[in-house]
Amino acid sequence: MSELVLDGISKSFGDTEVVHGIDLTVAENEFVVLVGPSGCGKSTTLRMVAGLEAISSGELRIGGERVNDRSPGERDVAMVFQNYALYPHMSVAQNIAFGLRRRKLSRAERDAAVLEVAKLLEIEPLLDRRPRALSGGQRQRVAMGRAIIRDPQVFLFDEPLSNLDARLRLQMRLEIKRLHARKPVTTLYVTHDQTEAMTMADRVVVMNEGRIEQAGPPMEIYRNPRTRFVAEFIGAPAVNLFDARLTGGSDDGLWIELADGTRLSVPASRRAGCESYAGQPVVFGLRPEDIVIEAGDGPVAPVQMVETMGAETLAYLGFGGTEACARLTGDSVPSRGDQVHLRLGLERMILIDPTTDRVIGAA
Amino acid sequence: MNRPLIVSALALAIGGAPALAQEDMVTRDRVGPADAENALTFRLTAYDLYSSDEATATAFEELFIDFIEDNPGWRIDTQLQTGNLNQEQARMIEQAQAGRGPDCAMVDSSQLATYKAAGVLSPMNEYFTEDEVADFFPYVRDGITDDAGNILAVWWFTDLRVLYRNTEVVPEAPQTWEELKTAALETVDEGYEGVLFNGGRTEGTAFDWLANFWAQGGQLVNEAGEPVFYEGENRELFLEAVRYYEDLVESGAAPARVTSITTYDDMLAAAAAGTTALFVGGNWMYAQIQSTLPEEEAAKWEASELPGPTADQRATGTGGWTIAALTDDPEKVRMCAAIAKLYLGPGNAFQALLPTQASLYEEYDTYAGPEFEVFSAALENGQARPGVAIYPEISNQIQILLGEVMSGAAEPEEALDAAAEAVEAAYARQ
Amino acid sequence: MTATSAPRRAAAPPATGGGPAPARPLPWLLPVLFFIGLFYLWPIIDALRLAFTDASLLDREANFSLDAIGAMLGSAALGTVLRNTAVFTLGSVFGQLLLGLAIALLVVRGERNNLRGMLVLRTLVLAAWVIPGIANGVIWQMLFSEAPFGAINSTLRLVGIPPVAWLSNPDNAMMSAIIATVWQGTAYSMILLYAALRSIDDTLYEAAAVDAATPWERLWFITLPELRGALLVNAILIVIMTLNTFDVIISLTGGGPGRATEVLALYAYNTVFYNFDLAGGSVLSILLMAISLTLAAIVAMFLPRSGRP
Ligand SMILES: Nc1ncnc2c1ncn2[C@@H]1O[C@H](COP(=O)(O)OP(=O)(O)OP(=O)(O)O)[C@@H](O)[C@H]1O
Ligand SMILES: [Mg+2]
Repeated sequence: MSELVLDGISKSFGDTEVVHGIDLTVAENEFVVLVGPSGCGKSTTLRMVAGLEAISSGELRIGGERVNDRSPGERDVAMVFQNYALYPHMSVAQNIAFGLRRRKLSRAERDAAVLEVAKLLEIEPLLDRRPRALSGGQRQRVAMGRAIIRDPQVFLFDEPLSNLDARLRLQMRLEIKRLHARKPVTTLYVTHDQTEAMTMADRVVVMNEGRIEQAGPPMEIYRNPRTRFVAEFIGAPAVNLFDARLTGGSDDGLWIELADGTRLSVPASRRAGCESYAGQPVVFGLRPEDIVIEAGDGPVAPVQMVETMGAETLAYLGFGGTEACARLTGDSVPSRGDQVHLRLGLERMILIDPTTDRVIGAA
Repeated sequence: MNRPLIVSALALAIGGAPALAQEDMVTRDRVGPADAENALTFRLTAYDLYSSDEATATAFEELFIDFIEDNPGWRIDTQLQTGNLNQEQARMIEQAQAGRGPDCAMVDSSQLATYKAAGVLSPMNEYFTEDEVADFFPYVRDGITDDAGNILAVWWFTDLRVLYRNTEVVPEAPQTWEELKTAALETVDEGYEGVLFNGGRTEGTAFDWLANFWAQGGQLVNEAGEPVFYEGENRELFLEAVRYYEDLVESGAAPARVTSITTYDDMLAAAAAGTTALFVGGNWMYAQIQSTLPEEEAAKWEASELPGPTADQRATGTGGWTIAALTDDPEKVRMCAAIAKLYLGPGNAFQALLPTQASLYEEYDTYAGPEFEVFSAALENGQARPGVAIYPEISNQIQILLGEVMSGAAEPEEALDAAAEAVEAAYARQ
Repeated sequence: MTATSAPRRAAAPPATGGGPAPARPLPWLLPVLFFIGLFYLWPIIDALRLAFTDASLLDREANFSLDAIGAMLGSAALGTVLRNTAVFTLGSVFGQLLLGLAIALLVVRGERNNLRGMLVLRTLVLAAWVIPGIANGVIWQMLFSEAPFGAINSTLRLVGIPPVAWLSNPDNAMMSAIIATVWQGTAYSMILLYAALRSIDDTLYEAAAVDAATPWERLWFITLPELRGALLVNAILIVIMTLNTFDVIISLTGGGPGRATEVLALYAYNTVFYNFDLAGGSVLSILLMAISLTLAAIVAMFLPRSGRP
C-alpha cells in the first residue's frame, strides 16, 4: 500500500502563503501529473512531499502513515531533479548504487542490481563514466536509474525533461511512460508543459496560484474544464474564446450571438445547462478541432493565415470578431484569402460565465 | 583670478604668517622654516620629539625651536625610525654606504662599532673640547673614539642593568649569586614566582646575563676583535655564568617561564601584579615602577647593583644611544654635533635618562634622587658590549644557548660548543 | 579549385587555437611581462646572484664565491631549522585548512537555516586576518603568558586544570606558534572555502537528503570532492605563505626558547640582520623558494584538470 495523500497541505514563506491547502490523493501506482504555469507552487508542493521543504500546515501521508515530521531520507521517496543532480565525482554506476548504501548487500548483489537498472534504461555502456561525460538524455536516464534502484514507495519528478531538446523530450516522455507501465510506482510528476501532462498522466492536476483548479483524467480535463483557466491552459493550440451573448426566448431556441453578429444555435443537448444565462454576456469557447471547413450552410469566414504541419493544418480564420484557429486533418488545405464555410462542433462548445470565469454547467 | 582677491589673499597670508610660523616650526617631518636655505636630515627614534607622551614632545619641541632660532637659515628634516631596531640600523648602514643615508642619525650604542667599521661616520673632534671629552665615562669614551682618537659619535645617554627587589619581601639587597638564589627561594616560599629576567630570544637576555660573565673577568672578544668567549679561561667563566642561570631555574629560584620572557615589560607587569619580588631590569624601569604602581607599592621597590659571583666581582651591561654624523659636509657635521649636545644635556635632564658625562649629574637637579647614587655607583663597573660586527651574532647565540639550557633541551657544554661553532662560522664569513 | 584552397588553408587559424586569438600576442603581453620581471623576477635573480658571492650588509663589494652556499648548507643549525619549518608548516597548513573548512561549513549551514549572526561570525574571523602578524604574535603572547596572571593559564587554573608551559617548553612553544598562526590564517581559508562551498549546487545536497545520506556522507561524498580544487589551491597558497612568514613567531617567541621555533624564514632574516650576511641570507632565501616551489608543485599535481574526468 503506497498511496500518497496530501491533506490540506499549505506552505508559507514568511508571511506569504504560496500553497493554499492542497488536497490530493495519488492512488497506489497511479501516475499523477501536477501542471500549472510558472510560479504556481508545483515545485513547492512536490518538495513538501519529498521533505525538502517543511510543511506549514496540513498532513502528508505515505502508505497511510503521517510523514510530516520525517526527514527526506526516512520517507522512502525518490526524486528526479530538473538538473538531474548527479554526484559529479562518482561514476554512473556509483551514482546509481548510491541509494543502496544502507542495504546490506554484497558487492556482487549490488553490481547485479545496478546492471539490471542500467539494462532497463539502456545505459550499460556508460556505467564507468562520470556524469560530466554524458549527454543530457543520458544524465536523465542515470538520474532515473538512481531513483528506480531504490524501489521507493513514491516517485517524484520535478520537470525532469525541461532541460532536454524537443526531440529528446518526446522520446524520454514515452520512455518514462513505458517504464511506469513495466514497473508501476506511485508517481507525482511536475511540469509546466501541458502536453507532457496530457500525454503522460493517469490523472492531471492543474494548479494555479497555489490552488488546485481541477483534477481528473486528461480527456476529462480537456473536454470538461471547470474554469476558464483550465480551458485555456490545457490544449494546444489553445481553445478559441469569443466574447458573446446568449439570446433567445423560451420557444425560439437559444442563440449565441458573437461580436460580429454571427448567431449560432445552441444544440438541444446543451441547452439545459445554460438557459438561465439567456440575455447575459458569456465567453464562448471552441477547441480548434471543433471548427471544420466544410461546404454547407455554416458561417463563412476568410482564411487569414495557414500553418501546415503535415498530418494536420492550422487555419487562422477571421471569425466572431476575432481570429479563430481551426485544426484541419483532411488533405484539402485552404489558402490564404479563401472564403470558407465552417461547420462548428457546438455540442462540445465551452461556455464560460465571464463574471466568475467558471464554465457554465460544469460539475 | 581677479586682482582684489589675490591682494586680500596675500594680505591674509601675511597677516596670519607670524602665528602660523610659530605653529609650523615643528611638523611631522621638519623642524624650522620650510623655506630655510640649509637643510639637515636627522633620523631619530620615536621617544623624544615625536614621543607619544605629550609633555616629552612639548619639551623637545621647545628645545628644538630654540635651537633653530640660534641657527638661522637652517631646517632639520626629521625621519622617524621604526621600532624594528636591528633591521632599521642595518638598513641605515646600507643607505649610508650608498650615499642615501641621513646627514645625522641616532645610532644604538651596540651598533656603533658596526658603523665605525663600515667607515660611514664623520669625526666631530672640532666641536668638543678636551675637557668635554675627558668628562665622558671611560667605557663611553672608548666606544665613541676610533684608534686615531677621533670622536665619531656622541653617546648621549647610557643605561645599565640592576636588580630590583620588593624591600618588604627582600629587605637586604643580595650581593652574590648565592644570596640571590637564597633570597629568591625564600620569596617562592612566600608564594612569589621567584626572580625574573629576560630568557627568551631577545637582545636583553644576552645583555642582562653578560654581566655575570664580565663580573668574573670574562671576555667575549680579544684585542683583535676575534670571538674568544669559548676558549681558554673564558670558557670556564662562561660556563660558570651559564650554570648560574641554569641553577636558578632548576632550583626553582626562577620560574621556567623566564625562557619566554622577551621584554622588560613582562617583569614590570609581574611587579605590578605583585607576583614577583625580584627581577633584573634596566635603570629606566625605576621611573616606570613609580608611574605604574600605586605610590605605596612603588615605594617598596628598590634597585641595587647586580649580584656577582662574589660581593666584589661585579659588572653591569651598559647601553644607550648615540648621535653620529653620516654626512661629509662640515657645516652639517657641526649642526649634528650641536643637536647631540642638545640631547646630552637638557634632553637627558628632562627625561631623567643617564647622561654619559659625570659633570652633568651635578649640573641638573633631576639627578638628586637616591636611585641615581645606586646607578652612578654601578656605572663604575659598567661594561659596554664589544664594538665588533660579530657581537649581534654572539648575542644571538647566547640567547639560543641560554634558552636551550634553561629549558632543559641542552647541557651547558654542548650548547656552548654549538654556539662556538656557529659564531666561528659567522666570523669567518665577515 | 586548388588555386583557391591553398590560401584558404593558410588563412585558417592554428589547429590548437580554441577561439579567435590575436595573431601576435607578444605586444599585448609585454607590459605584463615587464612588470612581472621587474617586481618578481628581478629580486629573485638578485638573490640568486648574491648567493654566489661573499656580499655582506656592511660591505657591498661582492666577489664571486661559493663559500656562502657551503657555509649555509653545512651549518649545524640548518637541520633543526628545517625540522622546525616542516613541523610549523604542516601544522599550520592542516590547522588552517581544517579550521577554515569547519567555520565555512558552519557559516554556510547557518545561512542556509537563516540563523542570525553569521555575518558577525564571518566578520569576526576576518578581523583576525587583518590584524598584522606582529600584533597577532603580541596578542597571543599575552594569552599564552605563563605569568600567574596569564590569560589562558588563569582560566585553566579557575577550572582546576594545571597551567601549561605554552612558550617556555620547547615542544609546547611550537604548538603555540602553530595555534597563533592558525588562528590568524584561518580566515583566509575560510573565505576561499566559503566561496567554494556557496558555489556547490544545492540540489546535490537535496538529492543526497532524499537518498538518506547522513551529514558525514554528505561531507564525504559531496562537499569534499566538490571542494577538492579549492582545498588544493588553498593548500598551495597557505604553504607558501606559511613558509615565508615569521612575523607571528618573531613577536611570540622570537624563535625560542633556544631554537625551538626558529623556522627557515626567521633564520634567513637573522642571518642577514644579526650577521649582516647578505650572501648567506640569499642562499637561505633561495632554499626557501625552492622548498616552496617544490611543495606547491607537489600539491598542484593533485589539482583536477579541466577536460579530464
Ligand atoms: N524559498 C522561497 N522563499 C520565498 N518564496 C519562494 C521560495 N520558493 C518558492 N517561492 C515562491 O513560491 C511560489 C511557488 O514557487 P514554485 O517554485 O513552487 O513554483 P513552480 O510552480 O514550481 O514554478 P516553475 O514552473 O517556475 O518551477 C513562487 O511565487 C515563488 O516565488
Ligand atoms: Mg518548479
